[in-house]
Amino acid sequence: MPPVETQQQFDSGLGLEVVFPTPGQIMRRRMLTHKGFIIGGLMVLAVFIVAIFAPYIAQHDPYHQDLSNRMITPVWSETGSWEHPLGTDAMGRDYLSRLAYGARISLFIGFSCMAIAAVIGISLGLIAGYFGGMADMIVSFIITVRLALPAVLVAIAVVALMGGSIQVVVMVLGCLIWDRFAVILRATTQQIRAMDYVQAAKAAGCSIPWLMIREIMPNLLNSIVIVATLEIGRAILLEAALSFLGMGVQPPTPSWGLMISEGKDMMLFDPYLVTIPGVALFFLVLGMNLFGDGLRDVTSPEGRS
Amino acid sequence: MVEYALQTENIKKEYTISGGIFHGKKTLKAVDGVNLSIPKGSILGLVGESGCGKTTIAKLILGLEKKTSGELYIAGKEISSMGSKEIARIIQPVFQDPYSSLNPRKSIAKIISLPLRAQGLANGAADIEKKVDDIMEIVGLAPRLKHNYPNQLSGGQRQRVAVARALIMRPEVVLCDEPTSALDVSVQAQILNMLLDLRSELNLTYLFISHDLAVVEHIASHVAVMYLGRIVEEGNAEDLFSNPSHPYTQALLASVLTPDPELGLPEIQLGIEYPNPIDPPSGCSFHPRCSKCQEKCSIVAPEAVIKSGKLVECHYPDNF
Repeated sequence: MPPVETQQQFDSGLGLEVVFPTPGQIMRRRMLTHKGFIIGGLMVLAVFIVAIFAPYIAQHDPYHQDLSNRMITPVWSETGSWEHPLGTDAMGRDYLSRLAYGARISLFIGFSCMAIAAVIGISLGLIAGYFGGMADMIVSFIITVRLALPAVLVAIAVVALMGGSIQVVVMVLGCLIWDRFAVILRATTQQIRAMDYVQAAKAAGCSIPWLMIREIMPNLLNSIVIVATLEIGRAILLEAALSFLGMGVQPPTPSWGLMISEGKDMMLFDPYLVTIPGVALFFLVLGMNLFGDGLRDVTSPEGRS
Repeated sequence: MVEYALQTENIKKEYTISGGIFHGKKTLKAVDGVNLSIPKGSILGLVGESGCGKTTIAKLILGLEKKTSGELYIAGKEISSMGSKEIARIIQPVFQDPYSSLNPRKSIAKIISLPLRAQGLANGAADIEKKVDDIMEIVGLAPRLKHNYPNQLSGGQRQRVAVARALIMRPEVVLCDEPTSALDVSVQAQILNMLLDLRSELNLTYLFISHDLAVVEHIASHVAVMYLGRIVEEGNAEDLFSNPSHPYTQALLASVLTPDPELGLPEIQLGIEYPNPIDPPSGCSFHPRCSKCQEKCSIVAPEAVIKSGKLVECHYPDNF
């Protein structure tokens, strides 16, 4: 019997062959037309470039204190100079250099917290969604317990006990922000587990790890990536909040949250000390969220826009 | 002595349903004592309404669900003594909806070769590729579709991919769970004829689950009619279609639509709706809908009797 090929390709009358695009091709096409995705992606990319090339952007040592040059205003004010384009802080440290190195801290914390949270949340979500029943009840209970704990309060308590450092902040935040991963993956796994292709794989003799990792996981990837971008933004904001409260990254490390905290006393007369790191934070988190939103549209099967 | 590819003896599947804190637990008898035997090389059609337990039987046979009681033999071996891989080598499914039975993230070659890879049966990538090429030719798929994804294929092509995946390990039994009901009428015939061709070519046995009586009449050699978890009538396809004994079978056959608009809609003698399987009717479970219901029917459940070569579960199989 000859195969039915009329649906696969048809002659449009111009000698052109119309072939349906692969999922990858559809995604690439959508990416190039989605404004939020492109703008958000460029914003995040800009911060990445600043972080990677921080030694070239920074003309001064971000830790070097120069008390004779303290509180120099940025270049756009009357007293500013190109020597310190974004001015200096109360210790006379170059603000642009601190901002550039601070991007490294923010991105590092954002990504490593997300990685820890992803491992915890994805495992819990997959187990609850796949096995259901008792496993689901236990995982749901753990999620509820986690949601009942205010993240900042727990973080403050742990940091107060163990002392603030980047490692402690990453560990604490990573172990606190996995809830969205777990909730979303649990629901999506439940949906996908019931699909016939999972049943077919089961009937073909696939083991449970094979089913989870090779059959279900690829279909969860878009949810994972979307949650991951949102969680990076959340982790960066939480780190800034902790550092602002003095419970996060310790001085003199150039963290954006810490910079806002150090500048708050002079905020009335030298608002740039707070606005510059604040704008940087806003820029990065907005970029991340736009990117994540765009990613959801780009990867969703029906392609909302 | 007939060799059976598949045999069930009084298998039951019960689900426990929690009725809330105050009502305690209830049991739903999805499959309530079913005896089926499929000789090697034959096609058994299993028909019945939605919710009568057809798909539960399919899941039990595939080892996706565990039976509550009874015995189930696959190629002469009891299913509970077999591992999932062993079952998979003998019996493979073709599902109803080719839009959900193919993983959208995998290429066609990957989907078809999945059973081979899962079982570790192939010797290297070249062997897998050769077997995929062979089976694609057998089911009538163009080799260039190998690197495509399911969303690039039509419904008929997808169902061919599903058949190819089921056949790549050369199983003895193929369990078709309504393999044509999601397809266009024009494509249905192609898939059915392909299944028939493959049966003689590869010496397959089919358990063909459907609610489309026309399809079953076309393909099956034996037919079993299922109602509320039980087989109410079973027999040779010709006998059953030409001379149905159970009133439910009669009603089912009367409900088939004809292409002739002059004839109008068929009048079905199944008054009230399908009973709740959690709370099945007393006596014969079909009696509330039966047009020939007698007093006895609501009290005593009928035993299976042999009536003109068929097994019928009815007190009055002659009474019409």
